[in-house]
Amino acid sequence: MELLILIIFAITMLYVSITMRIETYVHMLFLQGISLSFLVALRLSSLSIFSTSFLLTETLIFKTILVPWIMMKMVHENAALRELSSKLSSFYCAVITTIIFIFGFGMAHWASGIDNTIRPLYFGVSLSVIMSALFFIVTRRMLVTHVAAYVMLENGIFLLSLSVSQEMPLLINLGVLLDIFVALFIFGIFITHIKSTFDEIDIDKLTTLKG
Amino acid sequence: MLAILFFIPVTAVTLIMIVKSVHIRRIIFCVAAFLFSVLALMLCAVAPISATKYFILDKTGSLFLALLAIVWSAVVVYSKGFLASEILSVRKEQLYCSLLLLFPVAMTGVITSAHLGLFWVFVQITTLLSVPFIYMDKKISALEATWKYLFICSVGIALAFVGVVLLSQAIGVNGSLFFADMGSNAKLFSPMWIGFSFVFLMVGFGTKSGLAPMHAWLPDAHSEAPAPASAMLSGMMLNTALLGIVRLVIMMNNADAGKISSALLTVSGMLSVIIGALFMLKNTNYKRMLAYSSIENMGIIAICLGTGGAAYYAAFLHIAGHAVIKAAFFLTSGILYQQFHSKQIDDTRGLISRFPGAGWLWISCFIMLSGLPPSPLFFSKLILIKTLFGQGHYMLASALLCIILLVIYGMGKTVLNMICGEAETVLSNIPQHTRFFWYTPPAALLTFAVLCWCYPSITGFIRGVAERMAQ
Repeated sequence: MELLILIIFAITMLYVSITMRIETYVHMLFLQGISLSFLVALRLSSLSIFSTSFLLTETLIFKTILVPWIMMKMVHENAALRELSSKLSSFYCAVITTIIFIFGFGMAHWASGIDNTIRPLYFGVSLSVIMSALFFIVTRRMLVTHVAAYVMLENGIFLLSLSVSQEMPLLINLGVLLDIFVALFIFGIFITHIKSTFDEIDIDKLTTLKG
Repeated sequence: MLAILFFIPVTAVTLIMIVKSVHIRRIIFCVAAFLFSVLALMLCAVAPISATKYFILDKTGSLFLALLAIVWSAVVVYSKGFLASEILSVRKEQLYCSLLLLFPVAMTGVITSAHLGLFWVFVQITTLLSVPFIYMDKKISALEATWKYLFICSVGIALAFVGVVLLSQAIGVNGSLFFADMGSNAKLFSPMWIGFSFVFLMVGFGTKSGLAPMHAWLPDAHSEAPAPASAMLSGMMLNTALLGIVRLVIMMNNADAGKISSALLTVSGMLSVIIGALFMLKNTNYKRMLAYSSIENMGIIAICLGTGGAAYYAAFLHIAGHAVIKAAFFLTSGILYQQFHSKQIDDTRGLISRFPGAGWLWISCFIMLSGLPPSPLFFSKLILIKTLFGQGHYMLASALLCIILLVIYGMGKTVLNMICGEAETVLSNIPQHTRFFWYTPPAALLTFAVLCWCYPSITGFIRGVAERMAQ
């Protein structure tokens, strides 16, 4: 069951690499939130009841409902329905994302050979998701896509924290939550300002400051 | 006692938001600012102090807290003149004063955090709190600068969290992320994970402190923010992120992995110095020139931390000197902008003849920042070069010397062009009744900078911090 959920989580990134519809990115964020909730629930026996309840609440309410809702609002308010065409086509994006996944799993296999306390599949998928999210930030042009990729990066980091043997303190999880929520809120405000100033939310509009 | 440092500004902000009278709000702001600065300096004198196991003010932190109190006090006094010149609505003034009070709270949280995860949280809070400052002018360029700052720093901090997670793996199930525990138990950590975690933590905190190649946000953000905000960002926020790197270097040294941290810091530092120097040479905007100078100086501090030994004293002396001198320089740039209404170097000419006070302040800032005596940066750079030669790094030391000379040439040429010549743009002078608030803070900061190396108590304090690190 765990294996299936991790594979679904990985496939969401591969799908994001192919599609240009921004609403689909938000749907994938929703799917990632549900996957993370299931993964936390499956770890009920190994974590304290308080930690599990908090993490479940965090993943279900914030990552599954609140974050995709805020993102969808951002997409509709700014009429950002499709990613702008970039120099890298969907095919090459998919190829590079696949290479990233191969590298991620290779690193996980190597690391688990040295340290047998990590969960190799969790580690491989989380590393691949983090690197893929960074790849999307670098190659995509729409600012809303950058924000969606940033949230995917945070999801990958959350998965990484589940892959290590040491439980992350509650305080840190609270801090991460604050980070995601407030950052998303502020990103949303600024995207609206940028849209009203430039009529587009294309990163190419933000290139006047040079030197 | 430590809790009062958080309590005073938060209470003041709450009162500022509730009270309707502008006059009473200003009194609350001044009283809170005075109490915070005095209390912070008093606590630095009696450090170490702790408030719960999550907040400790140790000797290293007390240096940074003292610098925060001094720079922030200067910015608060300067703000009196700044606000008098800006036509801000009542609401905007309320927001400005509230943010100016909350910002040091977040930085105090960074400085006093005893837990790496909590440190990370407060670093992100400083990012989010400084965003409205950068976007104060609401211009298109400010919008671009704010977005770049917010996004690049958020991604950097997210990668730092990857480092925190990997470090927790290195520590194992019986360890903790408290700095004291990490420092004393470092030898037991897994060498593989500690190296990986340091890379991510260095990328994350290096982004916030403006080290290359993660520096892209710094020139835009520091040049577009108003002068008081630029002073705070360059003078203190960069240092607070650097404190994280300092604490991690202690851990890496104790874990016998000092070579990894040393190599990374030296490479990143050298890259920062080169990029800062090159972009300073051809810049047409004096605020961007100062921002690139911040990158260059952060690079020098990173090289000091990477070199180790006697260079640790150079690092802390450079941190202290750069914080106050750069803050003074940015505050003086605010005076220039007020008079010339332009950030372009070509529009800012004839400083000495038209505005002698500003002109002499500008020259003094240049002398201090470029590391000419009696600047503390002269001594820090001297100790660094001497240590590099002593350790046999002749190429690195020679390259650094050449770049420092290039920086002095580039900045000197710009400063001389600005103070000489005839002003061609429309000028306006600062009103007589506010001149004290504009000119006194940068002058006081420069005076304190001189005391950094010649006043025995201060030099002894900095030396004590460095010796603790070397142990």
